[in-house]
Amino acid sequence: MSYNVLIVEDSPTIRSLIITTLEDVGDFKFVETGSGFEALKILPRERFDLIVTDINMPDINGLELVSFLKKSDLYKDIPLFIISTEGSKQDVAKGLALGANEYIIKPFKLEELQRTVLKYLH
Amino acid sequence: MEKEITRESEANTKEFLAEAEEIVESLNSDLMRLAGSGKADPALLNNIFREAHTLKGLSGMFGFTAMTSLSHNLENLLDSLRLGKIDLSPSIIDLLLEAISIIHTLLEMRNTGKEDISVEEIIDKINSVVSDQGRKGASDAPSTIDKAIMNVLTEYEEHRLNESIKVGLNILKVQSSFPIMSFDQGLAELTAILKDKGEIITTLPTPGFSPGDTINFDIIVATQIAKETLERAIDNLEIKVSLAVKPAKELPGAEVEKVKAGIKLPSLDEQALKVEEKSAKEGIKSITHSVRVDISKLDNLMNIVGEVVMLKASIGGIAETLKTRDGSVGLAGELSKTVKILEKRLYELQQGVLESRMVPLGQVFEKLSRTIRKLGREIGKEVDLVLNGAETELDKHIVEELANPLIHIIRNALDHGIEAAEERRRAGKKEKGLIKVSAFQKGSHVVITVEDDGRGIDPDMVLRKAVERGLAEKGATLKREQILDFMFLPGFSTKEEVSEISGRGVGMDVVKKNITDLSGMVEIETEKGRGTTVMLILPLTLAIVKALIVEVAGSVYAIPLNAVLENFVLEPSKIETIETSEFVYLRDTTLPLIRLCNFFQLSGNCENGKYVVVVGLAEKKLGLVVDGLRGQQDIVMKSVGKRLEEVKGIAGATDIGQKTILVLDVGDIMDECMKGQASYRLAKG
Repeated sequence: MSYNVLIVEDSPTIRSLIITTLEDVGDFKFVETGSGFEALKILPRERFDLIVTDINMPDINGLELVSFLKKSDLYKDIPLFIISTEGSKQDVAKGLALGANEYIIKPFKLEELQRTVLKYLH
Repeated sequence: MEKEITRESEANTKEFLAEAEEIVESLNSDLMRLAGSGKADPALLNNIFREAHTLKGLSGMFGFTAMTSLSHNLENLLDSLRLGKIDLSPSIIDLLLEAISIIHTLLEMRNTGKEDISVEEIIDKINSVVSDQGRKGASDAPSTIDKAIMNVLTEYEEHRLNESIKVGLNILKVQSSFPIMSFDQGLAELTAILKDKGEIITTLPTPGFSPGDTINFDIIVATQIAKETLERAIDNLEIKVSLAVKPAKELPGAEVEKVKAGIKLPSLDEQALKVEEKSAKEGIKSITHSVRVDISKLDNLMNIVGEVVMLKASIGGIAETLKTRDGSVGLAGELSKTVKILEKRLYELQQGVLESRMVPLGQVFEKLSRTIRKLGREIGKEVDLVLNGAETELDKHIVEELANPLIHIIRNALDHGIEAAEERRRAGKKEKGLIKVSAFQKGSHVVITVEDDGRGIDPDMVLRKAVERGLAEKGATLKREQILDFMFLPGFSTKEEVSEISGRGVGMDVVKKNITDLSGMVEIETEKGRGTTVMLILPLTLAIVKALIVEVAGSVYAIPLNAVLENFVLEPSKIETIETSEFVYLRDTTLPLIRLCNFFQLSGNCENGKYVVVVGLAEKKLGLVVDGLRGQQDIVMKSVGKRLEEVKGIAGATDIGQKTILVLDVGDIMDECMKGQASYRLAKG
C-alpha cells in the first residue's frame, strides 16, 4: 500500500531531500508545495496519510497552517509534522500546543525522519 | 543500494548549491534595495531575514558547517535589525554585503571542491555589532493580544503586533469567506486594499461553513484609519470589519491592565493566519510556473538538437540524390517536403532550447552596483551608477562570463576616468561622477555600453606610449580607432592611467580576450574632457550558429554568418595595392582584402581567390578572399584541441557531413590584421 504525503516547505532542496529519504523506506507518493496557501487548495483534492510542514514560509506560517488543520474535522486526524530550522523555543512549544504530532528540527538525521514517519504509518 | 543513495545525495547536493546560490543572489538584490531606500522597511528586512534563515537550514542539512555558522550569525544580526534592537546604518549594510559575499565564496569553493575558508573573522565582526544582550524574547514586549492569536504568531509577528499597539495604531480584524478552490484571487484583492491602508499582521485561515468547499480568513491589520473608513474602502458587505484591540493610547496605566483588556476583547476569536508582505498570488505563481534545471542538462539538450540538425541536413542530401534517380522522383519530392517541415519544427525546437538558456543581465548589474559602492568609498569618489536594460537577456553562460570584464571596465572608469571632485568642479562638471551602463538587443547581438563622464583618453598620449614601446613607428599616421586599439594590447598602460589602486584586476587585454572568447567584440570611444564609452558587442547565444561554408585552397572553412555582411565576385582588375596590402573600393569606401590562403599559410595556389566575403563587427569591415562559396548551414561549435588553440583566427571546429572543418574567428582575424601591421588598413564603413 502506498502512502500519500503532503510536503509544505519553501526550499525545493529540502523537499527533495525529504522525498529521497522517505522513498528509501517505503512506498510513498508525494505532493509538494512551497506555499501555505497552495497547501490549503491541495488539501481538499486528495486524501493524505501524512502532512509535513515548515514554519518559515513566504505566505502563511506553518503554525497558522497547523492551527487550521487541527481545527478542521476533515484533517485533524492526519499525522502532522513540523520540520523547521532551529528557531525560538517558543515556536516549538506553540507548534506542539496547536496539535502538531512531531516537531523535527533541522538539521535532522535522515534516519530520524525515516523512523519517525514509520512510527505513524505502521 | 549504497550506490543509489550516494548518487541521490550527490544530486541533492547539487540542488542545494543551486538553491543556495539563488538565495545569495536574492539576498544581494534585497540588500541593494535596502541600501537604496535608506530606511529599514520591515517587510524587506523580514524577507532578508527569512532568506538568511533558509540558508542556515539548508547548509545545516548538508553539513556545511562554515556556512551554517556564518548564516546563523547573519540571521542573528538580521533578527536584531528587524526587531528594531539595532539601527540600520551604511556600515551595517556593508557588513551584511560582506557576509553575503563570503557565503558566495564558500559556495564557489564547495562547488569546486576546494577547502573552506575561515569565517571566524566575519563572525567576530557580526558579533561585535549584535549587542551582548542577546535575543530578547518577544514575551518581554507588552502583550495585550488574545492567547489564541498569539499561539499562531511567530516571534517576529508578535513583535510587529506589539509595536503597532505601542505606537497607538488601530488593530482591526477583517473577516472574509471564499470558495476554497479560488480563494487566492479574492484574498489577494482584499489584501491589496488592506496593505494600502496599513500593515497586515496576520491572516488566519479557519475551516469554512462547509469545510470542503469554503474557507474563512481573518486578517488582523494595524492601521491609522478608523474601522468605518476601512469598511468603506473594502466596500463589500460580506466582509466584516471589527475592532480587535483598543488602541494603546486609550489604555493608559499599568501594563497589567492592558494585558487584561486585551484578553477580554470579545472580537478576537481563535482565528488568525498570517500573510507576510509578499502577495499570496506571487508566492504561488513562482512555485507552480517554474522549474530549476541544471545548465549541463540544457547543454546536453542543445548538443542533441545540434546533432539532429546535422541529421536533417544528411536526409536533405539523400532527397536531393534520390531526385536524380529514375523512378524515385515522386518519392524524393515527398521526402524533400517532409524535410522542409522537419527543418521548420527543428528551428522552433532550437529556438525553444535557446530561449530556456536565456537569463536577464540583471544579476550582473547587481554585482556592478556593489562594486561601485565599495570601490567608490575606497577611493573616495562619489559616482552615480545608472543601469539600463537589466531585463535584456543573454545566454546564461555569456552572462556569467560577463561579470568580470564588466567589473574591470567599470573599475577603470571610476578609477581612471572619473576625476576627483575638485578637478570636476574646475572643469565645470557636476562633482558627482556618472557611470551609465546600458544593454539592448540589436538583431542577433546584445550591445552593452559603459559610459562615463570623466576625463576621457587622449589619443595623442596613447600613440606616444605606443611609439615608446615600439608598437608604432614614429610619425606614423594612424586612424583614431587604430590608436585606441593599442590599449587592448597586453601590458599596455599609459602613465596617466596608473593610479594608486591599479594593479588590481585584469587589463584591457584580458577584457578583450574574455569578450572575444565569447565571440564578441570590444570598442572604445572617447573624447578628451568629456568621457569614455566602452562598447561590448555579444552574440545572443553561443551554441548553434548559422555559418557560411567556404573553400580555400582545397580546404573547407565555416564563417559564422552573424559576422558576414555580404559576398561579391572578386574582379582581379579592381584590386588596388598599397605597399603589400590589397584593397578594393566598395561603395566609395576602401575595403581591405585578406587572402585566407595567405593568412593561414596554406600550401597551394593562393591566387585562385574568386569571391570576397565581407565580414564586419561593429564599425570595421574586412574582405576575406576565398576560392569558393558552398552556401549556408547550421553548425554546432565545438572547441578545438589544445594544439589548435594557439592558432590565430580559429574559433572552433564543427562537423559537416562526415568531415570536421574549422570555424573562423572573425574578430581574431581582424585583430591580427590590425596588430602591428599598418599595412592592413581597416576600412571604416
